[in-house]
Amino acid sequence: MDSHDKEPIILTSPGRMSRGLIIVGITLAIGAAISVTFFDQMFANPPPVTQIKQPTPPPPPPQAGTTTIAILAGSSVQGSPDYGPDAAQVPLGNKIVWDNQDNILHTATSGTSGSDPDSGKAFKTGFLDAGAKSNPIELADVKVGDSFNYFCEVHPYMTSTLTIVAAETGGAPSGPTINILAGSSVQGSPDYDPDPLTVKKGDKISVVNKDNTLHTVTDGAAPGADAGKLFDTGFFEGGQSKTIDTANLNPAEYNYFCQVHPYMTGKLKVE
Amino acid sequence: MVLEVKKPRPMWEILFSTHHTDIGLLYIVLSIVAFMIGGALAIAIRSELFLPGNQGIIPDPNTFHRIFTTHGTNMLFLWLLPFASGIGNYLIPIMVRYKDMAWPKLNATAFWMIPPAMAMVWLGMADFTWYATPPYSILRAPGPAAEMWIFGLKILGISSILGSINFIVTILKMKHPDLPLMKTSLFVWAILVTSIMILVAIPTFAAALIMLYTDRLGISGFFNPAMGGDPIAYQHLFWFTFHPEVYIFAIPAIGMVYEIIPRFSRKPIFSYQSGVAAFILLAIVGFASWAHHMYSTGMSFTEKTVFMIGTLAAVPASAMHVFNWTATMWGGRIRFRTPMSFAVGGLILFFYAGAGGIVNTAMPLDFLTHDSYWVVGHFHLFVMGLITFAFLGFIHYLFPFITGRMYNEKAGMVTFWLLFVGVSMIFLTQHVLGLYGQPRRTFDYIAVEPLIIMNQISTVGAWITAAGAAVFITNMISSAGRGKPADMRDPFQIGEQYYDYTRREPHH
Repeated sequence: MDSHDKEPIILTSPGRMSRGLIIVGITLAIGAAISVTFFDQMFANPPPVTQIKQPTPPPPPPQAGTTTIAILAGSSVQGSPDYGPDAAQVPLGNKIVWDNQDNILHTATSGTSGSDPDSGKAFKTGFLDAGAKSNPIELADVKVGDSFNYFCEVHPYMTSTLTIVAAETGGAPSGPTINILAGSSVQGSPDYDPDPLTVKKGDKISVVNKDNTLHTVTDGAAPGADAGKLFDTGFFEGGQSKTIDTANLNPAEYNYFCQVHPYMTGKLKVE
Repeated sequence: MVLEVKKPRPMWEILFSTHHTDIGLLYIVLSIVAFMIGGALAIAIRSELFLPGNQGIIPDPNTFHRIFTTHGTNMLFLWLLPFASGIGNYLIPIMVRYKDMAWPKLNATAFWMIPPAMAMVWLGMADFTWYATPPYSILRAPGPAAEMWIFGLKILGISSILGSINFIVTILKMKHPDLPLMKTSLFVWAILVTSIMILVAIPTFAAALIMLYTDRLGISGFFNPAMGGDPIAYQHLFWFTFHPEVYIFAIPAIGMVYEIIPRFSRKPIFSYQSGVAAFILLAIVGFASWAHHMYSTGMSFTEKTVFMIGTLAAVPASAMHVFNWTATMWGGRIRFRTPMSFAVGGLILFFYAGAGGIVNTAMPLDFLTHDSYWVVGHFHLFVMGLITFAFLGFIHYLFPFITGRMYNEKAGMVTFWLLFVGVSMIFLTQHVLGLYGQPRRTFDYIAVEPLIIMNQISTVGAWITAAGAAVFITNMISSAGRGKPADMRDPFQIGEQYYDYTRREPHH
């Protein structure tokens, strides 16, 4: 220690200290200038992830007020399927368009046959060339539940009916449906609707993802080796829908959950 | 800015020096700068939460996310880690009686990797929290901020590994042959254990970062459920690195407290061997508890129980340190100068943090506190209470060695009391906030009286802490230039040995 006492100690001086501070200060100022100027640009690009699918927009509701009924190819041959869908359901207030997909003239004329005195009174398309569509036909003075027979004047064995149904149900998938509600990815929010859902064995259940992110309907109570063995929709984006076939399920109560959000659970009863 | 023994050198010579004390100084300056600017973000966050609703201090929730992500990343990787490396650089060669670190150029390289990484983290300001949790981080987090964060952390990881290798080789190979390892300071043991932990822990996260990046590019789908990946796998990789990282932050701080307490108690350490044993024990059990961060991810009961026991195994090791400190102080002629006050204050807050930790560890109770402000209070009490207190105490202790001058003792004690009161107010109340149900990482909260009151106490505590930090930095700057010249053999007048100041002289 003694030898050290002889060595001069030069202390940090205010000048050197301020030079050090200037170096730190200039660096920080440059950083702050860049940061403030480019604050939003640093946050501009979505990740270049190729697998991101833009959520497919939900299928457009049946075009405001038109229902299309096809005149199927080959329907001029007696006994073949003729109008599709046969026994169409037309929401109240919709216009109807017949689309002739066959290779020969057809019509769609109200009534049961040419001998019907009321034939053509409710509606009448006139002759439709092969591939042509009829003008939109509006049915006046009808109410929900009304049913019309119609036939083809060229081929009277082609007969069908159409029924007027309530406007809201038009276009909705028929049969049992599980809706994945919007916002269900947030823990604690309502998720599957209806829950529980009761179906008959053999029913096909439509699963509609109304949320804006990936979900699944996977059997089981939690992620694990046994999950998804009986039924599993797989991942599907918001706006898409999937189908679960219950034909192979024994009548029982099944738990299901979402693989992405395991806190989303529901029950399915098969009778 | 630095004590010279013979003649002052130009600044650029210090900047580009490879001498261990110069690099140590650079580390310390960088980490204190990071502590200050990261603290400013914390004050913005707390001020925004003073009242529910948007206060306009932070313009929108998106910016709020970017701010707390940068705050967390900055405080852990740019304040805690570099500061420990800085003190290690100053003291390890002196303590093992070698002229420098084993590889001085590697040492300088390890330091100079940090400023670019810091620039990337700060200029990008990513928004996916310091966990960068997928699937958000791989599917939706906006770039280039997210990429900058990933590469910044990658560089910091490499820097840590280079620094650790240097420390391990210096301690084990360059140690003076007459100096047995069991006679070195406990701070040497702390740095040795920490460096080994870094070597074991960091590669896992380094791999996870690459996987995160390729997932973002769409090349791979490791963590992308839509491509058959598993986001939970990321959490395992992440926490396998970052639970041990908690001890990597803490052990150097504990080592510093071991330097301070015996000197200011003027007694030898109560039990040197138990300190070494507790360091090694902490290092081992630190790797057996990572999944306690993940109790609510749907693990089986058996897994949860295993990790609960693994976590509880760290309690005896931590308690050994606390007992050792208390027993060292017992009956000592204690001088409560600033470093000692910080060490004792840190000990008290460490006790609270540990007590709260027991609740988190208990897996059934964790379901109540998970992702709530309880957790924020708990780990801040740990990183701010114990680690930062030990660091601030130690920078006061080392101040004469660095500058040749004494800091202002009165200002030092004011710093301590402001920080002790402020930190207790912020983080003890945040425990209660969590039990009231306030979730973490929220820009807004429900306007009910208990939440508002607790948040306001917490925010006022943050302002007090900010005042303490302002006193601290003013004291450091003005004392470095104008402080009273220190008695370099015993600057605190406590009759204990101080570090040999002639080691300040660069020899190459």
